[in-house]
This record gives sequence, structure tokens and C-alpha cells, in this order.
Amino acid sequence: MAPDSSILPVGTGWTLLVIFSIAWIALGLYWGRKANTLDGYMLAGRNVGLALGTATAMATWVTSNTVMLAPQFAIQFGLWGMLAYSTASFGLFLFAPMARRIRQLMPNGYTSGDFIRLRYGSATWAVFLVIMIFYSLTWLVSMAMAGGIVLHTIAGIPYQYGMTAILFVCVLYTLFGGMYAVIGTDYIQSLIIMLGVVVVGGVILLQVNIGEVYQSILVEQPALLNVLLPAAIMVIFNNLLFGFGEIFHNNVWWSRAFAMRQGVGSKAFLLAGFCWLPIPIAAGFFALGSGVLGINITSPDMVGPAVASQVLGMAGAVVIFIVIFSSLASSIDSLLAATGDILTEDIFRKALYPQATEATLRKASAWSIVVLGLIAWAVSMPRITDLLGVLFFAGPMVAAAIWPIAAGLYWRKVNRLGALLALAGGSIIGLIAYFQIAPYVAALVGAAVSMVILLVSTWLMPQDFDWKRLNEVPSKSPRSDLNERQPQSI
Amino acid sequence: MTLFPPLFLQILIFSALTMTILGALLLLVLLIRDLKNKKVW
Repeated sequence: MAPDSSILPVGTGWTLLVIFSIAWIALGLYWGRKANTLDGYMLAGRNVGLALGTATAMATWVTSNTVMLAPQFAIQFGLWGMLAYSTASFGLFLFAPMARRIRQLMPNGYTSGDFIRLRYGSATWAVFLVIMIFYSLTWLVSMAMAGGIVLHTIAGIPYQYGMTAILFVCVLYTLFGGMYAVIGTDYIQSLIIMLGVVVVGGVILLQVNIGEVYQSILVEQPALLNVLLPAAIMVIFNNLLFGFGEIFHNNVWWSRAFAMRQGVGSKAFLLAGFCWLPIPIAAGFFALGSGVLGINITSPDMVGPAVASQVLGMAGAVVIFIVIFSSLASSIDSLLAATGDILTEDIFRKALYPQATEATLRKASAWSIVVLGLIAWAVSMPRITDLLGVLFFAGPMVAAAIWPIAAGLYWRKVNRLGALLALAGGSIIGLIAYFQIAPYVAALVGAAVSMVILLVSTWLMPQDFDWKRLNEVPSKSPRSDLNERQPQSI
Repeated sequence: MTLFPPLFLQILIFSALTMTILGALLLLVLLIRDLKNKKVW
């Protein structure tokens, strides 16, 4: 049953959903023709150029939260809220030199798990995989749930149908096209997101004066203009560290570093940071303009769609529907592909079946995507309400990974046991801070504890590391040809 | 309470929208360049 507040007729919502679903699946099939090797399927042939590289890094970081939560940040924390949200782009800036280093040190690498295993050994690898898989699944489920909720709220499509449809479509085109489909669709989705934000923001500017917006905030909530709003300043630090941890550790970003051609990664992540930075500010402006436009905000995370439909009517609702659908798809497909790579490379190939042929790995990669989709679907069905809380619960764990990753890439002397203790100790003490102090200090504590453990242990017991050990050449089995049809003779 | 001046909000919003437009144009220009040099994939 459609909610009273839905801003699009159900029929229009379904029509848009079907049109875009067909388009993404058709593109997945089209690009999937190129994915006839394992490197092609998992890493788009390791040859992605600057245009698609920039777009995929930018689009993956634009989640539904960027379009829906950034306006909420503006309403709650004012100008600092918009700026705080945009600091998540700093993770992309800092990852830019790391992407170049990763590509140089690991020309044959597949995942961030490969790096941790080769750099620090099996115990740290196991802890790291637990953290990353937990975080990635939580992120995936939160995006699937957001998809169901948004489709229900904007277009009245029942939650279970909308959530199932968006997951199904993303699984299907990622399954057909692998990383080629993910990166190709990310380019189109980037342009849609940016054009949508500019169109809605531009029309709001034509209807309201920024001076009026300022005066309206000054009269109704002057604290939102406060230069020294303490809560907002805390949010900046937490958001910043959470963003660093998320981007440094997660295979979503590492898989892109491996997928881009030599020399492209650093430029692509830098440009992606600049492309991403203004999006939360522009989306936050939608919320700040709501007062002057006389819009009554009943649900803060739906302020973007409400403002767009107010200023542009039905066209605005269609635009915002397409923007949110694109931002969801660009993150879900990336998570399916990159987490699927972790299951294939780290769990299946490295932990269970080292002799697997390329053809077997290609199948395992496809099955991983399907399994992840099914898990996300099953967990999302009951519509857990506090999933964002669970996602933030992972904040100290990903923040504890910042130092082991960054130091491990650049500092030869890092103590290997110290890195394990930094990862585990930072996570545990950060979680204690989450419960005992406040959620918004957890990432800060996790990162600080991890840094101290890593620095002290390395200062007391420095170790040497040969960077060449990171250049692991995959073993070629006799049956490495994907198209091979003859059974192996015994 | 020290407040952000109105000009700051103006600059922030106009910069954000301008940067978004430039970002979209940049992606198009980069794609054209990559297509010309056959370096898309």
C-alpha cells in the first residue's frame, strides 16, 4: 500500500524501475562480452583509463546516504554539517598516492586481503577478513534496505518488492559483466547523479535567494550558523576518520586500484575526490532551502526528495528517484563485485583450494556474487530499523585498520605482531569507547589506540620487510584456459 | 555566538554547484580523450 506521503504515482515508480533495470542489465550483458578471463571479470582487465577510473571511484562513494543523509546533517548541524559530510572526500584524496603505490608493489594483486596476508601473515589476515567482510555485508544490507525504503517512500512501491528488485538487478548485471559492468555503469551513474544535483540545486536557486535562506536560518535556528558548534566539530573528526578507515581497508577501493592501468590510479582518485566533495554541500542546500520554500519536514532523510518535488513538481520527483536509484546501484554493484573478489581470492583460492584453475575461479567469482546477493536479501527482508547503528558500530574496527594499512604500504620497519595487536586492540578499545563513552568518539579512539600500539611496537622491535614479497605471481595451472573444454587426463 | 557571514553561505553554495558542473564536464572531456587515444579500458 502506498504511503500518503509518496510523491510519485506507483505506476510511474514501477515504470522508472523497469526502464532503468532493463538498461543496467543490457549494459551488463554488453560489457560482459569482454569479461572472458579471470582478470577481466574480477578487475576489468587491469586496464581501466582515467575517465572510467575517476567516475567509478566517485560514484561508489556517492551512496544513497550522500543524497539523503547529507541534507539531514545540514538540518541537524548546519553549515558545519554540510562541511563535515564533505570531508569524507579526504579519504579519496589520501588514497590517491596509495593507489599508485599499491599498483607498483602488487602488479598481480587482487584484493586488500592479499596485501595484509603477504605483509603481516595469516593471523592478521584472518582478523582483517572478519572486519572487512562484516563491514562490507553491513554496508551492502544497509544499501539494499535504503533502496526498499526509498522506493516505498517516493513511489509507494512495497518495501519488499523494491528492495528485492534493486538487489536482483544489481546482482544480475554484476554477474553478467563482472567489473566491466560495474565500472561502465558507474560512469553513467556518476553523470546522472551530478546532473540531477545540478538541476535541482539550480532550480532552487532560481526560486529562492541565498540571502533569504540565511535570514530564515538566522531567525529559526541561529545555532546552525554557529562557527563554533561543538557537536558538529566532533562529527567532522569522526566522519573524517571513519572515511579514512573505510577507504583504506575496503576492497571496493583496492579492487579499483588494481583495475586501473599503470599511472592512472593516483590521478583518478584525486579527481574523484574533487568531483565528490561538492555533492553533500549541494544536497545539504536542498535542506537549508526548505524553510524559505515553506516545506514541512516530517522525515529529515526525505528532505531532498520533498524539496525536489516541491520546486520541480513531478519532474523533480522523477529526477530525484533516478538520482537515488543510480547512487544505490553504483554502491551495491561495487560491493557485490569487490566483496565477491574477497570470497573468491582470499577464502576460496588462498584458504581452501590453492590449486583451483582459472575457469574454476571464474565460476567461484560468479557464485560469490549470487551468494552475497542472497545473504543481503535474506537479512534485508525483515527491515531492521537500526542498521545504520550497526554500520557505525563497525567504525572503530575500520578506523583501527588505518595505521596497519598506511604504515604497511610505506614503512619497511613495521613490526608484524604490532600490526596485529594494533588492528585487534584498536577495534576492541574503540568498541568499548562506543558503548562506554559515545558512538561518535569510537572511530577516533580506535584509530588512536591502533596508532600508539603500532608506533610503540615498531619503535621497540623494528623488523625489516622486502617489498618484492608483495609481488606475488599467481601460479598457473595446466588448465588455466577458461575456454578449455577437454577434461584433464590423469 | 560567532556566526558564519551570509557571504560564506553564498560562496559555499555557488562553489558546490559550479564544482559539480565542472566535475560532470571533466568526466565527459576525459572520456572523449580516452576514446580518442583508445585508452577507455
